[in-house]
Amino acid sequence: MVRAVKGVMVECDPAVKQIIKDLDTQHHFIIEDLDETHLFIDASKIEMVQERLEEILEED
Amino acid sequence: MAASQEATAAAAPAAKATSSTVEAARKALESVGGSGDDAGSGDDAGSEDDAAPHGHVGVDEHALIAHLFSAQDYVHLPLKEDHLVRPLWVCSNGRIVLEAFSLLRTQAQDFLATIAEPVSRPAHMHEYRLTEYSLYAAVSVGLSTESIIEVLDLLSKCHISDEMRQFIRTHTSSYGRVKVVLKENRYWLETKDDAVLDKLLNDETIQGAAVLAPGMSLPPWLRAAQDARVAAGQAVGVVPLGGFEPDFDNAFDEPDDLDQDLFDQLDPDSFIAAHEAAMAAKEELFARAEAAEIASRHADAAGHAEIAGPTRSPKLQPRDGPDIDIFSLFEDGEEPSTANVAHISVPASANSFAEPVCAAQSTEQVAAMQSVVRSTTERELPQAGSPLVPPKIETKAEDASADPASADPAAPLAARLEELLQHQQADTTRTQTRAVEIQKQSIEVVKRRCTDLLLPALEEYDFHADTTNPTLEIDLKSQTKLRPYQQKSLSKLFGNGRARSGVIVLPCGSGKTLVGVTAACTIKKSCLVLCTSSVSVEQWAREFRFWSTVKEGHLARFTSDTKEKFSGNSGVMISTYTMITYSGKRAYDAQRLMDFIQSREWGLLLLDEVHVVPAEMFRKVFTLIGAHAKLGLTATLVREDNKIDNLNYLIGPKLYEANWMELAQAGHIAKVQCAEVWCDMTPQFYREYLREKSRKRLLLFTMNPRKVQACQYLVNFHEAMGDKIIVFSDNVFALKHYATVLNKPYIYGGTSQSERIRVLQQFRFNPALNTIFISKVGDTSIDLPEATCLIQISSHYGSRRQEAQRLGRILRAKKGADPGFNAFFYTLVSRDTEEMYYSTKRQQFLIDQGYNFRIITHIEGMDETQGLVYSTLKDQLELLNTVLISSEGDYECEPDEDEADIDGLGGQRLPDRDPESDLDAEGQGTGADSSWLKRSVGTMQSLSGADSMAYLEFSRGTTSGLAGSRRRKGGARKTSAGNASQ
Repeated sequence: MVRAVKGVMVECDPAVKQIIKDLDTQHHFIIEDLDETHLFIDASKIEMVQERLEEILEED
Repeated sequence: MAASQEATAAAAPAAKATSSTVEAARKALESVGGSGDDAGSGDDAGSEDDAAPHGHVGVDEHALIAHLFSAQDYVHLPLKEDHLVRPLWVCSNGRIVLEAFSLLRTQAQDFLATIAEPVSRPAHMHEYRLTEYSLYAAVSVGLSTESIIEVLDLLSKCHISDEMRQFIRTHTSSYGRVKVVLKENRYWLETKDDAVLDKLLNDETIQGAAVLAPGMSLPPWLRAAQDARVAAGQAVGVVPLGGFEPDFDNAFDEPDDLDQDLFDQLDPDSFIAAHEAAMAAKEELFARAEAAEIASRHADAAGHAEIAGPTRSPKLQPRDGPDIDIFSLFEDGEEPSTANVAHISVPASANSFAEPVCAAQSTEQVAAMQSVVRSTTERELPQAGSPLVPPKIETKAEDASADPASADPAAPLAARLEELLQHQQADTTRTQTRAVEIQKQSIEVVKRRCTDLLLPALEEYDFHADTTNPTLEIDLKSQTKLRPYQQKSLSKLFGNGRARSGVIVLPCGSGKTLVGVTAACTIKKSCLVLCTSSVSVEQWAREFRFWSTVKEGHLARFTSDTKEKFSGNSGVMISTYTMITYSGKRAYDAQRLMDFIQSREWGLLLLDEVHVVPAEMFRKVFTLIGAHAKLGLTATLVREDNKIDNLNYLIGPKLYEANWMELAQAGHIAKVQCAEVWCDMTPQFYREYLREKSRKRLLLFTMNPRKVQACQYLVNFHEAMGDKIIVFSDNVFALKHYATVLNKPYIYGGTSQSERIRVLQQFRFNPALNTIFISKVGDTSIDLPEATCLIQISSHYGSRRQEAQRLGRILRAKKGADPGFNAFFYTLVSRDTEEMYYSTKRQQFLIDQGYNFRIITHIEGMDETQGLVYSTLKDQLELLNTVLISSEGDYECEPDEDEADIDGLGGQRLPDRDPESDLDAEGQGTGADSSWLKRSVGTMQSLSGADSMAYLEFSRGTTSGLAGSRRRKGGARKTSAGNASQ
């Protein structure tokens, strides 16, 4: 049986992609790592990711 | 038009610290109203008409300004009518903003350099700050409270607030009232104010310290006149200074008094319009001609009648420094005729400086130092001869050609500025100087007590009168030429024929050493130079030989390698801070030399790179060494820990600070193009960067392969252009790696002295070797005049000082007067890492000096370049692996030779640190890949390493001995370990 997952494609620069991947180790939302600048992530967690990302970028 | 100027003008003082904010403020204002007017401000009548039509735009704008600048909103400050020609904004919190494009720029700048601390000096707007210490410094070079306020008010666009006046009064009134003078090996407390004297004498501590029963051994010039007013004071040995010596050449003093009379006639408070100034100038010319005549004929009767009133000590001509400066500045200025007005009344002050030094030194070079002063005097004479030509007319003609709109009002301002400064000088000459002798052993107590009484004492050294200390035969060589800014800084140091203690701030590469050498040649007493490392000891010795006529036997060095003593009873001694303050057990010869240093009295104590030394170290130096005058030299008077203020107490006020940009414009230092190159992190490195915590991160962003590539590209590019390149890295692991990959030589803490010298010689003279890699050891004092390009790959966090010092390596003026930039400074920064933050912080000092940093996000043509290292993913991953497996020790930054020691972190090590730690580290490194295991045949004794130990004795006092023994022991241990595993 085919399982469908709703996702969002995220485009970002390589550095941010690494940050997102770092987040993924705790929350697991990446469905597919597409290429250097693109990620396909779980749509339900997109808000959380955005929030966390902003926090991290704010820090630097 | 008037209104828009109004608006931008109002924004300027409110702007934040850097010029970029000033720019931003301007843009903000332009975007809102363009030519709006600030409704709330009390404008002058001229712009009121313009303001009317823009009524409510003004209100909005005012709100916006208030919002943008909040507490810094100065819109309400009323402007003076002729504010356009006045260059300064004076805010009530001590901040002063200078329009560096104003006509009165040079005058204002020099005045501000004397009274305020420069905060930021980019091209068009300069910011200064009035502080307690800067005011102390102003007083110490001889400005009076009222003249500071008046000149400031004269130059300011708005009226000076009462808080400002109060601030200036509070801090100038107390300082400089009391001077500690060391004459003929006796300390004197001098003051010009009876009230102050009373206060001092009523103080028990000082009473106890004062030498009672004067008169017997007073120097003749002190004995001359007794004043009845201090009858009480006589009991404790108060003597009014200032009897007039008949044999003293009074030609120099007379004009001064005439000036005074002249000023009495003039109304000093009225603002002088152009023709009035012209009249005054003419009058003065006549008076001056008269004075010259009188002086030349030595007309006794008339002259003495004049002098009788203001008594004045022939040897104590106070407060000349600033005048000379301001005048010399007028000479350099763009308004030659205003300068002429300035010259009219110079000679009294000019000569009083020139004369004593002249008497002592008749050589040409000193003449060069005084040339500014002399030419002032000389130029004045022909004018006096033809007084019918009113100088003001010239002014008008010349200024009109320059800028008809604003030049005219500027001229009277300049004239008035002059007058105020003269007025102040005339004022001070009327007072009498009184002195109390203080017992030598209690001088420290008295000084401390004076500070408690809010009368901090100024230290001066009357080196001409000092006959106890033997004179040193030393002069500048005749071919030595001082640059104008060097003369200026020295004139502040020797302002009235005495040496002051203080700090001189000059950019790296601008000839600080020469200033030091000249100071030593002027004082002509034994001189002790302290610097940060043995390399700079050598440099100072070389400079002394190069610039001065010091005899070989009179120049001695004291480092851990060389321990020399000068022959004869005076000489120049060069040593390091750590050598002097070392508190452990010394080797026999070092101890003897140290005793020698401590036992004698030094005329001058020169402190090189004064910013690196913490207060504790100085206290120690000063308790160990008795020196009459202390001169600190530095390029960067900033510390991240704000301990700079301590210098004010320990050494003295900052006497002079040069403007980097001006020196660069004049070609005295190189024009540097600064650039920050942003290198992306590769995804793999960034991933690791995010995972790692703190310390290893540093290595990751330093070793970023893109950075290596950028470095390689820049090295290749500049080598092709014929530049000599220095690459700096704080991190030794990165340094070695970069250098190995790019196949260049490198120098770090562990490199031996001979190896260092060899590499540096090769770099300087071998055209085939154009790039070297240097760790922190090269930050200061390594003099490589050939270097024209500097690349920084890793640095010490946010240290502004390091950044500036590194820039200093390429600042030495380059040959070939290229109008454009002739030196390059790159900082490689890995994007999205901590490095970005530090880099911004580091640049602040240089930005404040007026440097612009260009940001390069992408190096043009780098992608197409073939043969770059780490171009494949495989290589990059390999590099990443190397970084990740590197040990703790590798990514630790190498302990800084100078700083670790001198900042007190390194405890009490000798300055010329034996490279034992590095050697050990290296030993471990080699141990990893080539094994220690080795089969050999031998006796038990030799296998256990005891072969050489039986009859050896180690001298335990020296580091070299210690290091040697420890290394040998280490070797023994390792060999026996190897044995066991066999």
